[in-house]
Amino acid sequence: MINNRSHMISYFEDLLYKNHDRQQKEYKNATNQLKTYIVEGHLSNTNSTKHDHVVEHLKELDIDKEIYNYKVSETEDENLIRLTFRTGDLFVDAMNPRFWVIHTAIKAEHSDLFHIKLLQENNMDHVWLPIPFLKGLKKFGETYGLGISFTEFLNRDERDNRLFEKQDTFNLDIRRLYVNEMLSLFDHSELKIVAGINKVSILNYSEDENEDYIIDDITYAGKITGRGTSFGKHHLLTQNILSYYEKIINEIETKYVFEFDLENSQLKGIPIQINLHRKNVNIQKLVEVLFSGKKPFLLWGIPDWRSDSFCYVSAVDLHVGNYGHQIDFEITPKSIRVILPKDSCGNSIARLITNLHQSIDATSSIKGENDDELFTII
Amino acid sequence: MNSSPLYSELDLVNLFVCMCLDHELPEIDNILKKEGYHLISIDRKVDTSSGSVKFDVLLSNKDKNVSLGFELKGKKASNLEKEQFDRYSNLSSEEYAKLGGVSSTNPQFHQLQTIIGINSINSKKVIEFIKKHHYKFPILAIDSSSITVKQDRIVDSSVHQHFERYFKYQSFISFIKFDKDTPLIQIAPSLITSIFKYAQKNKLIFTVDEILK
Repeated sequence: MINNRSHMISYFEDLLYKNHDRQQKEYKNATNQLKTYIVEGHLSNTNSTKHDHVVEHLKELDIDKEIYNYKVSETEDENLIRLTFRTGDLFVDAMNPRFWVIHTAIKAEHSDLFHIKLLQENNMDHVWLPIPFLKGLKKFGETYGLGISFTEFLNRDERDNRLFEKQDTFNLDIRRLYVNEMLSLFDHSELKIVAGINKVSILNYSEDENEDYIIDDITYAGKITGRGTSFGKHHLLTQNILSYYEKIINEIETKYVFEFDLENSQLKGIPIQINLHRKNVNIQKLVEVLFSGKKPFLLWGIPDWRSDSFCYVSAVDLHVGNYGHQIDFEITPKSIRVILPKDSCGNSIARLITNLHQSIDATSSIKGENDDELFTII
Repeated sequence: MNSSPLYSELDLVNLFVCMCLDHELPEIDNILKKEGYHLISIDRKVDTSSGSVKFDVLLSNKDKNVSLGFELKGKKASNLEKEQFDRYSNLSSEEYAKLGGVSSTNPQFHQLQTIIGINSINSKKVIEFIKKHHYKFPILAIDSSSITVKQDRIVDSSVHQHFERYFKYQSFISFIKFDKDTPLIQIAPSLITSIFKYAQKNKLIFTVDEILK
């Protein structure tokens, strides 16, 4: 019975080796691949201790217990919670009070469902990794593969909505060879606006006698699937992603939010500038897509048209609806400026730019102070 | 950003707020902050010996011991009142320094100057009014891309220099959404959004202050 962090690490090390062995000898891929999910929770405003409210939260998930019956157990480590499914265990590491890391090797069908159900709670979300962040992960290994997808919203018309189910307009998966060539092809083509990188695969390989390696597939939604022999390398990459991401989110929440500093009689804050590079953006359509309250943007507001090419919207962020924060936007055909009020959730900005990359303009850039790209980690 | 040919008083307030921001915006320099001015109050009524005064924007510089009180006349500047301008003219800097929320280590030598801000199209009319009544107020004439000082000098000479040379800007952010003159039709969307926001939190009872936040 895995009862602490050390046991968990050993368990996943063994699992990876067995899967690797099976693949080498029998040429069969494992059905119980290592999967890690990074999620964001806002549970800190309860009166219980952190441990208690994590356990309570996990027990009360609205998940069909007949089919996906699981038991929530505590371990020796108060920040590590074990969920025991019929098909195996899932571990919630809540050491970071805001960003939980979930490790499991149960079937993706079950773990993905659990992930979905967890995120249906109003105070939970996954991390959102925009293209510069995903591209920057090559600092932790070699780029082994790439996933690209795009769902067109601006050019949809009523017939599309009526006849065709919403689906990716563009979907591409590239493994190992030709990744750089494909990226170069997109960079020099008009299609770059639809090259929404949704996944990168990073190979981390040790050229020592052990030849330990891991290939991690990291999606923009913070799901990391690992294949190889080293849980240690997978764990390290996960912690690096979390660390960089948290740093960016914290920076957004401290430096970029607007508030009046009473002590110094100063209005502090920096607007976040998103530049659109897509040509001929229909601003009316853009505003409609962004502020309808629907997925993926989950922003609702009433447009205030100051001119044909400038719209101001004070929108309610439905992702943090429980916190009731409004975010102000200024929209032109070439830019979206975001004015964040005090106590805003930085994850909302990550979600905004990631969804812009996936459905409006994959080349849009998000700049902060000194014109720096906010989500770059290189 | 505002494409209207004539700024409202609220627009002018937001313009000056942007010039006091802690961080410079790409489209408008925070020159007043750079010159050491802090935003003390907006539309605060202060009772003084010369009557109650209510600057639209009051800025103050502790190091220079100077405060700048802006009286902003939006749109066609049709509300020029001698009585109001007399109060500004007769205002004691020392008294205001003690009552207006200004941090002054030496109120006796504090300098408070009233500056009039207007749409530049009204310059001739306002200058005539100022001259007729012998007031000594600098006028900042504002259009959609520049601000210029006319009539009298601003007491802070380095601030004066910025506006003497046509201070250029591209646009500004409207931090303050509405004032007493904002038509209801413009306020309604903000109120609806606030109500929606509270509905998301299952908060069904709220105060006027909460709705306006």
